[in-house]
Amino acid sequence: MFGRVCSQAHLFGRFVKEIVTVVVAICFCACTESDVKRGNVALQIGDFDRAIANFTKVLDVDPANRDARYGLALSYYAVAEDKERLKLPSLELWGRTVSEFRILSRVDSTGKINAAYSTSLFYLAKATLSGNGRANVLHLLDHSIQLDSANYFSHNLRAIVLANRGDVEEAKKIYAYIVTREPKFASAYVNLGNLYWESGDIEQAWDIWSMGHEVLPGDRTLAHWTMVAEDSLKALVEQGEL
Amino acid sequence: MSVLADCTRATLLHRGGEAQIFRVWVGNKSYVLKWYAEGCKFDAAVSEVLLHNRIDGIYHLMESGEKQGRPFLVYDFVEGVDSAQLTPMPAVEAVASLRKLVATLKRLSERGVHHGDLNPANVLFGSEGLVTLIDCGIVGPGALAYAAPERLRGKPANEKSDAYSLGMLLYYWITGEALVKASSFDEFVDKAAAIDSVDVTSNLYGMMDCLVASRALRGVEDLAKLEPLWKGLFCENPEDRVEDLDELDELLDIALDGLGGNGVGFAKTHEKFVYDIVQKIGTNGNEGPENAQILLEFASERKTKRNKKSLFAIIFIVALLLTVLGIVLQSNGTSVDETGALMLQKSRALNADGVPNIDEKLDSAVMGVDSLILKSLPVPQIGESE
Repeated sequence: MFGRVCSQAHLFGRFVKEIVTVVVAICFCACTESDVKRGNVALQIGDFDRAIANFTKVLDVDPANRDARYGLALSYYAVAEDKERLKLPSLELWGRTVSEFRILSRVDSTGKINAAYSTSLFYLAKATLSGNGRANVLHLLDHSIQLDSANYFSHNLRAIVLANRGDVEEAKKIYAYIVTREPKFASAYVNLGNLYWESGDIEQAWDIWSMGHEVLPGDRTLAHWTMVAEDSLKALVEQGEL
Repeated sequence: MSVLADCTRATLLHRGGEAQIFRVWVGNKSYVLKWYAEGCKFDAAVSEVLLHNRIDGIYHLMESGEKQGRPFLVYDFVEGVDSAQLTPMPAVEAVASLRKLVATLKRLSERGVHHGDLNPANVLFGSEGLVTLIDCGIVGPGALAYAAPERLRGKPANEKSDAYSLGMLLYYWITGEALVKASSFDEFVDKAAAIDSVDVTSNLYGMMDCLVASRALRGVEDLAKLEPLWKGLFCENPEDRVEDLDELDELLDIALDGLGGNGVGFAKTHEKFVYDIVQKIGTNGNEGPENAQILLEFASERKTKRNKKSLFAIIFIVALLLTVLGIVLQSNGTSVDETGALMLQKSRALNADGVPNIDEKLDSAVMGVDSLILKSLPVPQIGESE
């Protein structure tokens, strides 16, 4: 009899313990969610320091908290973008941003973060080149493209890097790929035209620039280079060289 | 909350084939816990009426339920003795008490309830001669010796079947023995079916010496006073019995008058009868030893019920917390994912102004990527967000 009473008391104790655990977990989640929420609001209104503080607070307790980690990565991203906008050195911040995304990718393998991670890798590559034009950033850009094949900014920079390394043909293929997939990516027309222009193929350069000008008639760069190429072609005709 | 929730003591009053009866204490107040044998059933509708109505002359049911597949009732403890202990009793007292039962049964009948198991053990006599009816609403014929023929055939109780049982009860009270005796159910059925052929008055006449000696009857003249009752009650066909309890009451009133129940002498008889009851209550040694097991049995059920209540309460609270949490989270703007998507959308937007500056000459002679190229490199629209 005593045993039965003890057994029931023991079971009841376990039951209460589990309930308390659930309630504590819910309260903990509620507090955590509250900090994440505050961080998100701060991020949305541009209070990046506060956003970083809130997300960091959550991560101090729960380093694998996906939302807090994503929020922190986005906060560093936003701060770095601000530096970029002000033409201030941003390499360190982009490095930090990429680092957060790298950790985040171990917590979140759903692919939801890939586009943002890819973009931050592009910026890191750009910031690295800004400090050292000879720096090897291809691995960053390859990783960026691997994460998001539709990130044409990374494709474009990769082509520029390859062209400067002398791999002009590969660069041309990349630009052609970009304008095929994203016809309104003006820079690809300009850069591809430039490669033809520099090799003396003015006719081909005109073809590319005028093609871009047709798609983007408001783009002053393309309009200008299309006109330069036209003038050059006219001069060549007049000189009887064409 | 269960009456048994706070009981501290229990004693066994009776252990029989049909039920175990315990007296349980909650502080200074005591109750009866009647735990029936397996197979016994109660009419839930009857229990419901008795749980919510206090009817004079019938026990106050506090709780009903089932434990280990056996039904149980909890009702107010009635200080008294069951009528079986008072037999043979003076016919005038028997008839007067039966009238009290009839009045109680009429009150029950008004609520659509019929007793269905009228027998000596279910009638308690209190210290002031109060008559209390217990164990109402059992499903089945009840005590076989007192059951009307149609009840033995499975028919539900009604006023006529209860009236028949009252007749059997009256006979038992006066003689101290059942009119119908049998050793098997089938034999009871056969004897009940042949009840019309039983000459009750002759039976009583045969026992006259004993009945007079025990003061149950004053003499042969009392037989004639009782005769209309037997004729009006002991009929196999319900249609041949008294029309209803009102008619029975009239017959009883006439009989009581003939037996001297309305005379001066009755007061003395009644005083003696009540004295006997008090004496029996005072010397009632039928309480068994303390029974802690029964407390544990029902306390554990109570604990389980409490646990279930606690569980439901906790589940409810947790669900409430989660709901509130969900509402709070939902009502507070976008998630981090949405913020990220918005930022990326802004960053990735193509703008015609974000192209290389054509005025800057590209220096292809420089090894590595020229800084001018980088300055004019199209980037996600950071400049346009301002």
